[in-house]
Amino acid sequence: MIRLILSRIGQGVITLLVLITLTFFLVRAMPGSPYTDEKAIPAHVLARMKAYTGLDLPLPVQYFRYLKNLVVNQDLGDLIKRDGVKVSEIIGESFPVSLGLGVLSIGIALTLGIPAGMISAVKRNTFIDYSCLAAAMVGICLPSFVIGPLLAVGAGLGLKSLNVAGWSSPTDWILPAVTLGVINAAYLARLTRGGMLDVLSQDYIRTARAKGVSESGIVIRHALRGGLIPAVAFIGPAFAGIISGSFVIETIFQVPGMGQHFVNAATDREFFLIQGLVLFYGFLIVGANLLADLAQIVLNPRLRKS
Amino acid sequence: MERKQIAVTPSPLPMQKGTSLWKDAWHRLAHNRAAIVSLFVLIVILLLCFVGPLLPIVQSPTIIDLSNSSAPPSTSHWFGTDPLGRDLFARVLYGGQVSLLVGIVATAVAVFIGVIYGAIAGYAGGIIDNLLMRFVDILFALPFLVLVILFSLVVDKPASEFTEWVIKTTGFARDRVAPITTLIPLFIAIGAIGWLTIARIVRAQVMAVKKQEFVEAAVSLGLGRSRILFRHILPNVIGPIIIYTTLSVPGIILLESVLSFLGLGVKPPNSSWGILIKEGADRMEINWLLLFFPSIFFAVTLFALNFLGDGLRDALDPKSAMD
Amino acid sequence: MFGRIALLIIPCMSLLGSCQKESQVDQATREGVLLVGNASEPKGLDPHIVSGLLEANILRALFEGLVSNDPENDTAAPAGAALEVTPDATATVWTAKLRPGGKWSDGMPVTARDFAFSYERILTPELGAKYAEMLYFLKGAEDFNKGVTKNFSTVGVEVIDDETLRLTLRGPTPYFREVLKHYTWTAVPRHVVLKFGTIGQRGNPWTRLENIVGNGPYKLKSWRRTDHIEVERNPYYWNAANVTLNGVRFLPITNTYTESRMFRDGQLHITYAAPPEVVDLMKKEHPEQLRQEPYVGTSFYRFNTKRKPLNDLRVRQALSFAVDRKLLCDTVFRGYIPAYAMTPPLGKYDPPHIAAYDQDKARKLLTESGYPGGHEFPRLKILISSKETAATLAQAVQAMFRKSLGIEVEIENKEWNAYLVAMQDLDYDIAYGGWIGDYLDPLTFLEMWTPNNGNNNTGWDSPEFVKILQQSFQESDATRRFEQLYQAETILIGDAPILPIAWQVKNYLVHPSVEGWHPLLLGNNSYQYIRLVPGR
Repeated sequence: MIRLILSRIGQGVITLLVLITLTFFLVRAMPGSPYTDEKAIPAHVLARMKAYTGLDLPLPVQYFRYLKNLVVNQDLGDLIKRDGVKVSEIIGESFPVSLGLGVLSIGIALTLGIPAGMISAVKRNTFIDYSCLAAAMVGICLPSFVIGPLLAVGAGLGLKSLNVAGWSSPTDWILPAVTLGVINAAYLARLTRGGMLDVLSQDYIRTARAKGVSESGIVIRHALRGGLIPAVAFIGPAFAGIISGSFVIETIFQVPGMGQHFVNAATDREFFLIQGLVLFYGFLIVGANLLADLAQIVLNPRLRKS
Repeated sequence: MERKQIAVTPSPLPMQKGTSLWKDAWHRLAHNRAAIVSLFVLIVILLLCFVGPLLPIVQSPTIIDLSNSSAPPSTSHWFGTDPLGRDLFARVLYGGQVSLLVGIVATAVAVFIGVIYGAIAGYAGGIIDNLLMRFVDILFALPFLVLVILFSLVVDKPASEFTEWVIKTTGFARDRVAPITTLIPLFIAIGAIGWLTIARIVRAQVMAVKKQEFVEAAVSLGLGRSRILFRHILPNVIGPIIIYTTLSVPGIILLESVLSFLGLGVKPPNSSWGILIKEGADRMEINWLLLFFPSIFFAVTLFALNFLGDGLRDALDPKSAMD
Repeated sequence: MFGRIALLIIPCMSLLGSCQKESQVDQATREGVLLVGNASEPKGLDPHIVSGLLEANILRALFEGLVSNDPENDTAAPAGAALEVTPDATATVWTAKLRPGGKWSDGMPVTARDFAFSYERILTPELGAKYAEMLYFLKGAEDFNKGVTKNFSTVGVEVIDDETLRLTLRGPTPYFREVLKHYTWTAVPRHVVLKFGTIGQRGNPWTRLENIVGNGPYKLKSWRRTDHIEVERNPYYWNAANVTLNGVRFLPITNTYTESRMFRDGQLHITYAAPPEVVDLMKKEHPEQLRQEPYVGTSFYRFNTKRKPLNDLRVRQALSFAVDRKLLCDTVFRGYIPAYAMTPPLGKYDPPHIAAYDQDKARKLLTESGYPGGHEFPRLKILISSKETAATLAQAVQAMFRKSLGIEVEIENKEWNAYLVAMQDLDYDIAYGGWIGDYLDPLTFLEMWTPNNGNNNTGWDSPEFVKILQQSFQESDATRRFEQLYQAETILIGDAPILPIAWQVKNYLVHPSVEGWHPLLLGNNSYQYIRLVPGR
């Protein structure tokens, strides 16, 4: 187990290095530059601006400078269009918001989605099953840019104690967390139902039934473990995405989270910010996948042998 | 699950079923009422979107009448008109062509890549698995927007050259050819992004299944690895694949509207369900019908698809084959 | 389905909501704080570095130039940091008499030296200030900024004493007071800037929350990125006793639909904009809260005059005559004004009436250019960026070209930066564009079409046009100068490197409790004289 974790950490470092290298060159291949402006900047001004950020240097020099700064100074660099702002400041300010919101919404998703999926599977092809399926389908078919405004208009405008958007009171967490949570709950419910059905028809469940284990015991002690595999495989990678924010949710509910920076940094050509965000996100993904793989080993005893 | 299935049956090797698998599956599917209704609904929607516009009652989706914008439904415009005074019914049908094509083709591409990739990773294990999955991690983390912008830059010229070539060789009208050919970059882009999660799910399933007795039995029979993987393991993980595929279709159809917004895919005045829903969401407080009609088509299609998916999953489940 | 859920949710919600709470706007009104939607997170607060409208909205609260903005009248230039700014007979040499006892928000005196330092700073080549061009009105400024000379004493800025500043301009500039209102002409505190860095240093941290010092009616109170910026009273402001508003809270709301929802929910006093759909809704529900005010902005299409067939004047004119601007303004733009030239009417300046809708003329011109009935006309592309109004407009124009001329154009949507690159590389046929004036003079709409200007992007190069503009730089008589500008604009619109469509109208929402928010052409309302009246 420890050897597995250590080797995965080693792989993670290599993954991140490849990732940051790719990102570095990809962002610089995009049309335009951080200095592209509606009104073209005069050449003599442009030269000064580039000299300040080092973007006038040859690409390989820029690349090794960036890596050196990253490794030696643990510095992700500065923003290009915002004078004197560090990439780490942006991430440091916005990530806690997205993390909090993400964890809350995953909590909502898990408490709604997993039980709904379980009940659906056990009561397969009954009215309850179809109701759960239909409810889940609403969450899946309605994109966040529809659920968000619907909730904002329905709950926010209709309700004095809830703000339609903003981030000034604790109740402002409710609408964005519910929007995100409902969507993910729908996926979880569907995947759990499928996974449970697969397991319920397995031999060891039949054996358990034959031995007279009670139905609820079967579901909880035996079926749930295996039945959660697809849901876990889904939530692992989704987790990193959810806690790093969502552009749509943040702009609909005016949340100062990290998701908007992923979009704005790309459209603004904020090279160092994109690199910083990608590195950070990559770190989360590597971490989350490691956890998801470990969780799968726990859920599926057969895997422990390898 | 019903009680009568409890009777303990000896665990038969799935490979014994061989040829009758598909026949059995079809038989079981035909008895699933929800699935059959869904199949029927899907066929109706496909016909509406692809054959309907050929009928004279469906108007042009691009004729603008600014004096009649955002009109409520009437006998001349069944769903009313959009803000530019275009017939919303026609726009929903034509938009459906794009969205259904994207849903079918792009999902097929994504599932094809994802299943093979995930299955190989999960079955091979060890270094191969590690290498393949770290590659997935990297693709996952790469900034999506940057890739799309770069891709649209690269693909611009070849795509329009291809359109010209098709027009020249087939002699079809541009209005017929261009809306389809401009979607090809979109299929590639969505397919290339969409397979990542499927690969992870398939890998996890394959890893879970490959330690089961019937696989070990197949190995001991001396069967080839690819035969074991594709003939014995994959059919056993087909349930989650179907579920996840039907689940990912709405996301894929909606992704199209995001990409179109970035200049990759549908060009105005053409539209799609995703674009219509987005436009409708912006205006829902003014004219909620603009959101309602495209959403209803979208939702009904996906409801049907998911019910059908569930039916297929049940029908193809090798374990329930003997029931 | 949704209906049933809504039926369940709404009663629950109204139960929760029955314990009514004071709305944010009510609370802010009581506290005398204005809640303003401000579109996006500012790129910074250094008046020498930033270049946007939303930054200007905040800078107006923090810094004050030699003249300030009149709250009601566009063209008046009331005293600001200076008691008076007076020209000589030719309007070339201007003398500013600073307010005695004027102070920065840290209590230090504001002197002429601060202004001289500021002008030197923005023009210092090392700083790389994007908008340094705004100071090219000063004699010798362009040479200094481009590094031709390193000696700032060659620039027309002279400190006579602590309270007197003399500015020598490149030529007669009767409208100089208008120019002085722009934030690039405000002063930055010399002692603070130099405390945290050097004059030409970028990334100087002097504008951070804990460091920033200004001379405006307000000072920075709190700043949380992508959430809010709040300013509070500056006790050292010379007119602090007459400032009626206690503070302003700027909210960077990027999504205009979110912004209008927040307004309707009682979370904002003033919105940055109102999208066309919300204009319709407010007209129905609360017409008194909707403001539709003329603005010095123009929406237009650029033609790539280097490309066939757009290099043919008759083709460009034909396309221009084919567009029914009135219809577009009424439907797509919800209240913009049909444009017949580039410059919107400004005070005494009414631009030449040239661009118009005339299908017969359009067809005739197209026939003359060799494409009778649009036959064999190449498929041109309209380049737009991913903004929705542009897409709607392009589809309507596409239909008008088809109807009037029988030609087909395609719409090409590009991501913003890619769009800019295509435009600046002249890699387009027709491109959508917009321009908002920097100051209230036609020059800000005409100078951009000179061949070397970063805004031209059409390949259009008219020596005649440049010559007349140059002449106007030397003209001290305002009436004659307008005649020259009129002549220049006649050449511009006659030659049609652009297809003017509409003069913009600012659609936005104002809460009834706000008193003293007057329509201004540049939207540069001062905050200090606004009153918030509770109970409305």
